[in-house]
Amino acid sequence: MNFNPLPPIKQAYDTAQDSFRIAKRTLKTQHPQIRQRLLQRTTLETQTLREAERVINQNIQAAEGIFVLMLWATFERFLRDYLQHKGVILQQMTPPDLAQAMYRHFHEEVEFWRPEDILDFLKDSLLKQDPQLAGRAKAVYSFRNWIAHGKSAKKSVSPVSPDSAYTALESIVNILLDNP
Amino acid sequence: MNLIAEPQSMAIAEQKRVYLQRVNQLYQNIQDWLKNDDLVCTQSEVEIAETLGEYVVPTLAIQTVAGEDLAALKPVGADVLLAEGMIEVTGWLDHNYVLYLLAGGPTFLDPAGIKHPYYKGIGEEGWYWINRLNTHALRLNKPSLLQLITWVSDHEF
Repeated sequence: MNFNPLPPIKQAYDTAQDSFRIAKRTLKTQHPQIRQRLLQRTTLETQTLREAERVINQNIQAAEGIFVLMLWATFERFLRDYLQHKGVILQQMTPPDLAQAMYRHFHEEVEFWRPEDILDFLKDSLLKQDPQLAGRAKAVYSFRNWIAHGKSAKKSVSPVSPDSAYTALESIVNILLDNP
Repeated sequence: MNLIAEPQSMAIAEQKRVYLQRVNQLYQNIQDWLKNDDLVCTQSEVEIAETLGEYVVPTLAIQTVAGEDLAALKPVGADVLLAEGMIEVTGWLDHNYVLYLLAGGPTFLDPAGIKHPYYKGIGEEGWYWINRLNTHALRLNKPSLLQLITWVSDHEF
């Protein structure tokens, strides 16, 4: 992959945020006919205003977690694609049969590497000028795990907003893109 | 007695103390900025849980004199990504965050050793509002606070 895959996720998040704002303004509209027209054929149409507002508020919070999940998933895919592409050089070894078999094995194994391990060897190589880059990505990963595993009350995590996750991960993506 | 854990717990206690001091200073500034604007600020407390532990933080509610809720400020934590602390600002319409950033804001070094800022517009140390519609972060002062209140409440000043 030779482009930054994160901006479309950010754009989707921004659009979702805008949509929540528009929906909440719709609920506040003083004209029932206009409100009904704006809400028609939505799941909010049949709900009371109070219930509709509660549902929207609940899902604003949920959307933040979902977008951090999406950002991380896209970032992780980018890392694995990047590393698999780097391994193409294995195919140049001799004998060719061994080269092909080793490359296939490498390509498959990359899919199972732990994100923390990938970030650790990036910290020792492309990110060695600033080890905090890997640490910040791990903070996003930790938050992603907390969301993905049901927001356990037993574990406290550093809060990560979609905006800060995007900012932290994009810096690493750009460094990798500068080192094709 | 755990002699190894003690310096760490002291560092955490200090981090929380500094964070709460910065939060309280902001609340004081906000009350000063709004004292002639027919707005009412009410402080309260709530317990939060973050990686530094569970502790009580002050909250600040901003209302019109007629009792309309405009914005509620609630500290989220001191141990946050790319900042020294975060406060959530919530109104009926939306919510947003203000971040405490050190002078110049957070930066990273690329492989050539060149320093890049994560955010544009960070000057002095302080609380900043980073809004997706602005290209630069806004230092929290009276004008930007009123913009932030409008953002979360649609209340026009």
